[in-house]
Amino acid sequence: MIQNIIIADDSSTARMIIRRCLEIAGCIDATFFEAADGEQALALAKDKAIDLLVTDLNMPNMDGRTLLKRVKSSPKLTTVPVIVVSSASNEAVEKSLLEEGALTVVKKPVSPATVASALETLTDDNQWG
Amino acid sequence: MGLIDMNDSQKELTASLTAAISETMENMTFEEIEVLVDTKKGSSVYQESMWATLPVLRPLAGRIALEIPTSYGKCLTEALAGDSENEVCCEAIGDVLGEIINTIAGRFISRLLPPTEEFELGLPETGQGELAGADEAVTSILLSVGGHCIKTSVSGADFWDFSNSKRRN
Repeated sequence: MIQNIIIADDSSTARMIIRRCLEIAGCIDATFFEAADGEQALALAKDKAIDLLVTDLNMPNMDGRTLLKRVKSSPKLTTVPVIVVSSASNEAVEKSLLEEGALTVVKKPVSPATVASALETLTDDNQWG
Repeated sequence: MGLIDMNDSQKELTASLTAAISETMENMTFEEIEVLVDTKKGSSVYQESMWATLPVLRPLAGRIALEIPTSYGKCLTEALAGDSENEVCCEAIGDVLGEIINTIAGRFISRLLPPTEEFELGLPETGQGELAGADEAVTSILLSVGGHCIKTSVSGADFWDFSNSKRRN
């Protein structure tokens, strides 16, 4: 089960929408940690036992791409699945993010359906329904 | 009617921006847009307004802007936050506007560029009152959303070049 989830986005509105979508998609009992940039998210990830990281791409201080690289290059965090949520994505951006280790890329605005679809890529088990 | 004087590239720019706004507003607020005026220049039409801008960094450099009446910003914020009991502050409206302009910009640039070309956007800026530099827009569109008038514009040298000569293929 996914217990601890970090949502990294510089917009509090976006964090709230992503959280609601995750809850509707099945993560109703998860504990959510919110970060306004990549630095905060990375600090949280190092401190908590994180099961999932959902991050925006464009953020101040440390952007989502750098956060993804830092997570994937950390022996402690490399297995943490990272879902990138961004409006600044197309086929080329998505391809490069997947090559850098993202589990999947979700285009903004997110919906419960797109988040559920992203969560399905995490596991074949039907633990979200 | 403003489309009559446009060349194909200008039409593409305007049509892409209109489509991006339409998709964004329908997905985020469940409201359909109606184009009111399509003109290269336009002055602020609101007594009390807020704005959000977002820089486009590469491969086209420029700026996307959104101006809305503050009253509509409050409605949007209440709707997205699901909280109509507490007074909505300007910071919260700005956060919502930033998220909307971010989504519009991403969808707009995705439509202009080939899908195989990466692009990069900057961070949104928001503020109150009249937006400085709005008269430098390459294209500016006035729209009605849920009975409210909003304005979006695109500015920047690369977008001028794009509108004057087709950039791709």
